[in-house]
Amino acid sequence: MLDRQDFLNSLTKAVGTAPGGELVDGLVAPGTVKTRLLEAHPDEMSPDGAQALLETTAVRLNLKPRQLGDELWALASAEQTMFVDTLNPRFWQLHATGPADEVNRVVRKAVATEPRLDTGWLPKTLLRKLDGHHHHLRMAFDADDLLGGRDQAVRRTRVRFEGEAPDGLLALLGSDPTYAGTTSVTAVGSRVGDATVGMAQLVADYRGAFVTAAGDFEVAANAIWRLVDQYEQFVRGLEARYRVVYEPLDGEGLTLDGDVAVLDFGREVDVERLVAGLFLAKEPFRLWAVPRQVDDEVWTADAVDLHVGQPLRLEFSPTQLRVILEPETCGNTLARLLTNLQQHLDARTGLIAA
Amino acid sequence: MDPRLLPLNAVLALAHEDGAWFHELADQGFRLHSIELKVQSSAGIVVADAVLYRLDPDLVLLCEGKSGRNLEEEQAKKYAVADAAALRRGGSLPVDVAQDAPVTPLYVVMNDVRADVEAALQGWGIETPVLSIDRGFARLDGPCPDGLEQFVCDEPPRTWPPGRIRVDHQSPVEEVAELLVQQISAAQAQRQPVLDLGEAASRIYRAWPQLSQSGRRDFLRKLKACARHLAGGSLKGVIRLDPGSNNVPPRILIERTPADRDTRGMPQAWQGQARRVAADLGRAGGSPPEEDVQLSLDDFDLGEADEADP
Repeated sequence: MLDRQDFLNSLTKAVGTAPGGELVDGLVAPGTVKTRLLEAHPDEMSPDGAQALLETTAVRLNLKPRQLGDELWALASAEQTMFVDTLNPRFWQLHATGPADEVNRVVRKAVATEPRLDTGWLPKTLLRKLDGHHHHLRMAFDADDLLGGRDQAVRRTRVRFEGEAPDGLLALLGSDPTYAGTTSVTAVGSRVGDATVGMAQLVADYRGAFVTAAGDFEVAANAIWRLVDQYEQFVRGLEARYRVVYEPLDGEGLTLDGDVAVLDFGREVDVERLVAGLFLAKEPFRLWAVPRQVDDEVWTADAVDLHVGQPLRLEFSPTQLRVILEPETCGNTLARLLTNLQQHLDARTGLIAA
Repeated sequence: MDPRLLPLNAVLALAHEDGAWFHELADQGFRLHSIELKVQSSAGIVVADAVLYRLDPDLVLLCEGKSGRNLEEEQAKKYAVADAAALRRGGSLPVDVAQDAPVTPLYVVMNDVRADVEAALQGWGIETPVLSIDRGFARLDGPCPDGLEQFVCDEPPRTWPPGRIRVDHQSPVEEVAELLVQQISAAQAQRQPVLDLGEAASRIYRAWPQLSQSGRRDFLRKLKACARHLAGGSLKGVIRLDPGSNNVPPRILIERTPADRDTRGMPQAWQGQARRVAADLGRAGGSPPEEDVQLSLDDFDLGEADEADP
């Protein structure tokens, strides 16, 4: 059985080796390490449950699973071998050194065909908590589907900033009324570690995708784990607060607990347009509903999150979206909605903290 | 959401400080004890839509939601004489409140019928507060006991209270149909071959375990009628109703799902289903209007590559 530390060492060697050569340690192809955060809902939240879900998914994707170590798996295809770490049975990490397009294709297919799997969805406040010194910032705001209209001053903006003070640029754009709504943080690049423990160049994006482009992978992995831990805390916090849970009282009656989540857009939007663009059952929202106009500029939708097949209710006004989660609905559903509204409607969209 | 349930949802919103609507009752210290609670009084039993309570000073509010202008005199008199001792005997007094806490009925009505409701209560000699609501509006007025203060909320955003409870066993079929469609689509997304109608009922109407046998039968009958309608209409060839028998519970057999399409064809298949169901539910469906899509520099293939991007 492969020790996890040995696996991390092999990935460090792979990062430092030019692509195209022999397998490093007979295990990993040389190249940058692409890591994908996957949120899993095994039938049983345990190592065995994770194993069962991983094996089912591998079969569906025509990948051959092989256990390398404790909660550490290799998934082999004709093109490449990917590695999945299920140490946390709900929040998995997939590592690969093959081409990013191929990794993305496999991940897309996995989450599209398996309702118990989703990627991570990091809102900008969380993404900006990536460890290290940030020196790269990418904004790729695209509101064609949800805003549209010729009267929108900015509905698609791409900015790539490389320099030592990306936060300053973000603050500058955020202070301008025209651009404030476009300051979605799509990716952050960071130098993590120090001279004592080693250094690594790490890029993280809002879909829970990471690239370790240079340096010590163990240092990068530590930064990834820390962000994943924060993401887990965030998702579990959403579930604890926003699931509307019903419990029978002793004898008669029913208690009801849980808040309604309120997402404030930070601006007024054309609700009809937003509703028309949101329920197309396609990426990234993958929401299905037959929305209903209940009043002037007020719409509701008893929707289904197609990623996981869970129901949720959405209530729209020009400035806010209220979300009512069912007792079974996953917090990742709300995280995905919030994150993608920041990327595709208005970057200022945020949860109201009552 | 069934408009009949707007008053109940208003009470639930007012007792939750979550920023989703006004929260004046939460601000006054009220918490939800229960919904659909049987309450004993010396005049008989009533089922309160919601029971709220607060401490120091202790007070229990028995909330009765009315979507129309008509109150029932007998029911109003039962509410009027309810007290803590009777609630305690029936096991419906919140454990935290004092054994002799005052108990007050609170009528929750739509604002346009407020005057009628107040007149009816006055005519029966019942003095009790009335809470009236509208879109972006809530007003609590009338004789309030110690611990309950009058308020008027009238400010944007102009929204209705959030729909925590969308239907009950008396809701019309059209309202129930929308939620059944949601359950069917969720089952399709999970590739479930069968949707048990009893399980769907318990998710659509969360007070299902508290419903009487006859109430459950009525609600299931509604779900079956909806399923039959959908199976012969917008979901023809997609679902089939198995009405059940003595030994087999009623269920929906799912024969086709857009989730079985390949990843490229899946969104179109789901969109098609939404359009058909929209027509069945009497809604306008369809895709967003075509717009001039703003081109990106990336569309011009300038040969730039960013290998560091994930």
